[in-house]
Amino acid sequence: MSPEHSRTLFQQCFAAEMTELPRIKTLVLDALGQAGWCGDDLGRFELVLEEGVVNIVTYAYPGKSGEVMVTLSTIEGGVLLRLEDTGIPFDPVAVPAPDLDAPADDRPLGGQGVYLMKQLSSGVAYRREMEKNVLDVVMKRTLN
Amino acid sequence: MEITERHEQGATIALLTGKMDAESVPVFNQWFDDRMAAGHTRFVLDFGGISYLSSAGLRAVLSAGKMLDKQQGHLAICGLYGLARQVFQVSGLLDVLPIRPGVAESLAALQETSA
Repeated sequence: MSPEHSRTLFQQCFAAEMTELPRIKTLVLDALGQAGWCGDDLGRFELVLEEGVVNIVTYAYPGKSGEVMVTLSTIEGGVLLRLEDTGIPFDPVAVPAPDLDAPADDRPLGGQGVYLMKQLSSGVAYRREMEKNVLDVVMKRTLN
Repeated sequence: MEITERHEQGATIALLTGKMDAESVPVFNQWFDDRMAAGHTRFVLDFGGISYLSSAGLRAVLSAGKMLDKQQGHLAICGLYGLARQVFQVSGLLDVLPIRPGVAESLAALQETSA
């Protein structure tokens, strides 16, 4: 897609702390709401955003503090959410899907978040670039 | 998230409202731990007011179920709709958890397990 078709709706750097999650959600969802998103689309986006940020907050910086850069830009038919951190290399796309047929008692308590992010978005791509984890999530809009 | 609790037929029925996410899940966990510590072993979780649920919410429900299993307790889940239902479904949990349409069916299921 040519750059003139893409517009940055939101970009901000946050401390990679769980206490920042409500503020990140409020600010990013507000930007998306102003772009006309609502209802189920907004709910699905919130889930993808939460899972992505929680992952970074929980795993990227073991034993130290760090930051997460959140960028939201328009693409044809939807938005691109980019999450960047300078933490340890981690490719969520490579996390295997949970065993969906396993009984509830046998389910591990973790590992659902990444799977949900993949299932409820239109595409997730990861790359390690310049000592950074860069996660791109494409969210298409279904409501008008 | 808000938890509105009532007791019926020996079960603790919790109507959950709002968002069950990473921010609010500690509230649920604390509530559940307190009730377990007080000896409650039969729970109905009514998701009828839950408009949003993330993997943190799923984890809390799975964890509650496992704790109850260890104590020979029982859990029934009902009222799932919209995004919350979609999250359970996508995770393959609709078929493996004791999910009922409403509170009445949940209470009936709990009665059966104790019969």
